[in-house]
Amino acid sequence: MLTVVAALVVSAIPLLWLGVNPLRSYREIFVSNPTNIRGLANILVTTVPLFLAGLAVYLPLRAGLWNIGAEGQLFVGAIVGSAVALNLSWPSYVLLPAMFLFAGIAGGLYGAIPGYLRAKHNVNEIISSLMLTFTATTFAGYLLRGPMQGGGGQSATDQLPGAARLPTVAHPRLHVGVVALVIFAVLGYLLLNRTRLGYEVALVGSNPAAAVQAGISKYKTYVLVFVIGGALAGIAGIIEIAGVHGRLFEEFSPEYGFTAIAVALLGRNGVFQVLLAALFFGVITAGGTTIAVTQNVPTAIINVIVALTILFLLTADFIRDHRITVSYDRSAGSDERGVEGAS
Amino acid sequence: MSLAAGLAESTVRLATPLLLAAMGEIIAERSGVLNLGVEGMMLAGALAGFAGTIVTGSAWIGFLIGMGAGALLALLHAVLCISLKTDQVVSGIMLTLLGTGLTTYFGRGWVGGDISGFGRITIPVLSDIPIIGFALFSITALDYLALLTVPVVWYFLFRTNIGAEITAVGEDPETADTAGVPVFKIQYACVLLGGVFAGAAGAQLSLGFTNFWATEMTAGRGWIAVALVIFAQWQIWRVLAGAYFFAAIDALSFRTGGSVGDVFLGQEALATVVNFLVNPQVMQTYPYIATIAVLWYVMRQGNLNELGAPSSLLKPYSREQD
Amino acid sequence: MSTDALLEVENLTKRFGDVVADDEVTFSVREGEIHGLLGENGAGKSVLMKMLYGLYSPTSGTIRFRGDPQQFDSPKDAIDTGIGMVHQHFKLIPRMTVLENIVLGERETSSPESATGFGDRFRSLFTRERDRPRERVTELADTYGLDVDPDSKVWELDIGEQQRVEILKALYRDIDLLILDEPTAVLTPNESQRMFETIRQLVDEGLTVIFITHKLWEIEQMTDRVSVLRDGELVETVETDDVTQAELAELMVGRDVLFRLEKDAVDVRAPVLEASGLRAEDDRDIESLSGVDLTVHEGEIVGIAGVSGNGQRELAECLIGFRPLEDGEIEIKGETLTDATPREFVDAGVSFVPEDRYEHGCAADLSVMHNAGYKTYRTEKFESGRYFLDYGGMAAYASSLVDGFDVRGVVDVTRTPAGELSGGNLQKLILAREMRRDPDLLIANQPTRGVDVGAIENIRRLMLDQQEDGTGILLLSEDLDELLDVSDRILVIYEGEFVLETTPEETSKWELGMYMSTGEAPTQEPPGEIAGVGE
Repeated sequence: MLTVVAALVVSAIPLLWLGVNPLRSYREIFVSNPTNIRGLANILVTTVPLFLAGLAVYLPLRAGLWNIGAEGQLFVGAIVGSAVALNLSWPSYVLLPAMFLFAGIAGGLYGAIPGYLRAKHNVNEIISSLMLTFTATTFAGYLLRGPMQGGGGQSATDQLPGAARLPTVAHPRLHVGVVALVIFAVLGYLLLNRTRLGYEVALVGSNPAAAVQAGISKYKTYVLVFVIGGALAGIAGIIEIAGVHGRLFEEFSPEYGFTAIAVALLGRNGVFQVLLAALFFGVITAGGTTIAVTQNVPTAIINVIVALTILFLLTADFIRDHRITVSYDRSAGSDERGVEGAS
Repeated sequence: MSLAAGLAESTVRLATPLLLAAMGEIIAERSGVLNLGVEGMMLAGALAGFAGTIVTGSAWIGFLIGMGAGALLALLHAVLCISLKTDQVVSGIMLTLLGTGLTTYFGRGWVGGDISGFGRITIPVLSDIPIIGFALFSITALDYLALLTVPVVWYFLFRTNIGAEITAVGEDPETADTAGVPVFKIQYACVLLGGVFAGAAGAQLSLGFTNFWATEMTAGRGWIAVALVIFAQWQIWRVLAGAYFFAAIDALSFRTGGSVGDVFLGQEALATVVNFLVNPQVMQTYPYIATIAVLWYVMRQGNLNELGAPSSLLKPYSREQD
Repeated sequence: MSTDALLEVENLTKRFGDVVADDEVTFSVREGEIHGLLGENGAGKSVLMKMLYGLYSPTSGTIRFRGDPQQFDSPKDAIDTGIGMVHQHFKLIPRMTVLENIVLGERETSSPESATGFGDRFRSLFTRERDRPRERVTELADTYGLDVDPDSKVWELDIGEQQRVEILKALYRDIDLLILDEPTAVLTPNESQRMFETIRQLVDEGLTVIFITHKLWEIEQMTDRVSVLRDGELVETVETDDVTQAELAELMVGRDVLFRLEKDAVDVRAPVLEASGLRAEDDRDIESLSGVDLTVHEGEIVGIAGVSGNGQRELAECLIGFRPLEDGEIEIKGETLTDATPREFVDAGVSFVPEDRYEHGCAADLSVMHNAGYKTYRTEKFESGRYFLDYGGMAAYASSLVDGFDVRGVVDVTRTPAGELSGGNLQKLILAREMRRDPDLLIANQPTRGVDVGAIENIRRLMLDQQEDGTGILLLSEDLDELLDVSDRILVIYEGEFVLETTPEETSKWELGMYMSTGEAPTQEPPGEIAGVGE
């Protein structure tokens, strides 16, 4: 909480610089916007990809791995899901599940690459997932100017058929994809806290060597968390296309996959905390877009607030860890003895 | 200008920001600190350099200001990663978000500004050499500077005492510490230098290449620089080669229209494949794929001495006792 | 204290929390001597030396060098004073050359004068000088017979060569006192002989050497005087010529303790573990297990005695499928498990108590419940549908372990992290986890190391109870009292091979100690006053 306040205080500087009253901006972001139906709809809709991509980072993180590639998995899901929608003229109740299925599979397979390379060949998953992100976003550029380009000469697909659009409820912007927040929060919670796999992930994440001695396959765990994470990011991608934009274009994701790292970090204590963190960044992103119009502030203020939140989060971590080190003196002592004994 | 000479010239000029940024990144990484904030630092350098040039009227002063902007962000990275021992990956991504956000935010007012920037310096006679003459001897001062940094950084890292100490810190800070090497000072210096280079790379883009400022004008070059260092296995001369390789892909992708495959007359499938492979956008993915491939190949061999990665990269160091 | 003392240590104490590693240690080293430092693992030798080298700061006490009190904040201070150290685990950078490693941190420049002005500082940073240092290294190498190519990369060198580089690195810094921390531990016998010649040459040239070891014959062969450490206290400093190896062994391991557990005779039944010809490499790919055969029967405790680093860890890890075998076969209850995965070993009924409970034994930041379930979570007991786990059952199970094995400090099994338990209680939790599943074979590597006295008795009692239930137990321990107390059979491991098989009734601490430190049968009679100990 203190972290967030600190980030907002520092973010006030660029606002003041442009002669904007930061209190007015924050009031709009945190009070006015969430209290009207349109703003609320925007917030929920923005939270969906942030939450799913956040889980895509969070799951591997629980197993001790960094998935920096959620953005790429999101793109792959969006591409494959859109391709399904554009090429199959099925009725909505078949088409939508098919889009979600294929987007999930594609994202999962794409996520499997860094997971596999790490598990099998010990290739650093940070680097490989990052590289695969740029591969995917760049390749999307090719598809949108080539095979998937729609009419009108823009680097975008045609509008998806009506059957491929997510229906809306209560407000024209509020698509039914927001139920994904509830569904995946529950599924994610069950997976991590109620299943055998969730237990294995926790053990591998906490101490891989001990987990292997307990008979857990590190290989299987590493690949699975990346596959599941990638699938979630892929589904996030197609929800964003089918629910919000109605067609695929290059800039459809305002770096959801990178903000997801902040989401996972802020919510690292559990799936519901990830949901809250996604909601927080959803409020900022939706509100930031609104003040961009009403108060003539560049939307880039969103990136600044997100970055500063991470910055203060890291600093707060240090302060907390430092306290723990002091109170852990006892075990530190036996560690030293362990070193002595082993030499 | 012939097609080949044109390609050579574009390659050299497109390689400049990659070279500068990668030289900075290699210094930082060899001291054990990964910097994923290069893209953000480059943007900061590009905007600060551009604004500085307009305000002071001097491209050189602007260039220095750009370097300072990169260093400022790098200082943040250094404090977080070295003193506070936070996660280098998260800190780097945060800096890229911050750099992108701040430059987009404050850069709005500078879009459409006009400067003369760094002009071409043409060396007579030499520039008349066919194909490469123009590319190597009719470029801006910053392009010359970037080429000059390669041997300088090589000398710095491999032929000086401080270079040996940097390597030692990146390999095994504890051993370096026992030998009396000031580990933290060296890491700070290297991360800051990395920022200076990234800032310079960004400033080069706005002052020596485009002569204007545009939002997110680095277009992922910071990430390519990160990839380049890994692709080059942390070796200076391979960075040079890699920078030209990646820049050549960039240069080619501006020029090939996707009809190269037509030479395979009558072989439709082959022509389709080749056309796909030389498609400009498809070619843009090559640096990333090549980097994964190199990493994968080396790790498969299992000889970590061949993988040039500094052994303590990503691991914060603290003394055994406080 | 004598006036010719180069180094004097007075009442030096180092505590880590509640644990006292060194307690009021006092001794002195004379100029020009080879001073042996003898003690079992955990006796406090390494901590003591790390204080002398500026890596640890003492809790209390004084260090004097040439009569002046010293305070070392870093190794650099110690080096500047004239103390050099060759660590057991070399402090070398494999990817750099020998010469680069030696001069690292010295900032050699072309002008031999010490750098003071700005220009000199600049030059010391941004240039380097290799020719003069190379000459100096070659000269040192010639003088002391430390031949090694200054321009080869360290990772290309063998262990003996690397050690010579370490010594050169220390000598290059003009030291007066060289500390060698178990220099022969990693060397072959031939290399060791060569090492001894080097040490003699060093002393001939005026150096003083502190030589740390737990091999008795090395003390006898090499040192002028020897100080013996036991349980963090300095027992005695003696002239080497005045003592026999047997007397040293007694000083090192101490007398028999009086307390002995009641132990019923157990019938030996069918074998649970049959292993033959086991070969394995350590983490540095050096063979550390050289073909051992081993059988453990139901209801039998087999003790493995040995100085640490003689292959115990590799043996234990091979027997749970964690470390790949180079050669050999393993059968558990008649089922062949050679090259099986850790999971197959777990499923076959093998339990394991690792040597390092933090590194391999637990997930420190997860709850006691998570840690209690390591080996049992996959069993039917906690099944809840195909993929789900019965967490309520897990928590209840964890609580029953905590109560049944008297694990203290647990507030809530689902919330208290295992890492917050004290060492002894964590160890009890690990033992509870491994024993409650009624394993056929329990492999316990140093189960009582670093645990307080009360918990030690408790843990030994638990193993005896488990034995009565028919579990075969392989106990690897450096504590000879423990081995003699609980084992039915004892094997001594030395350099990756078993060198003695005996029973507690037939042997003595003294004999075990001799086998452990020399690998051979004692050549002398035991000293009179302790003859017959252990009978």
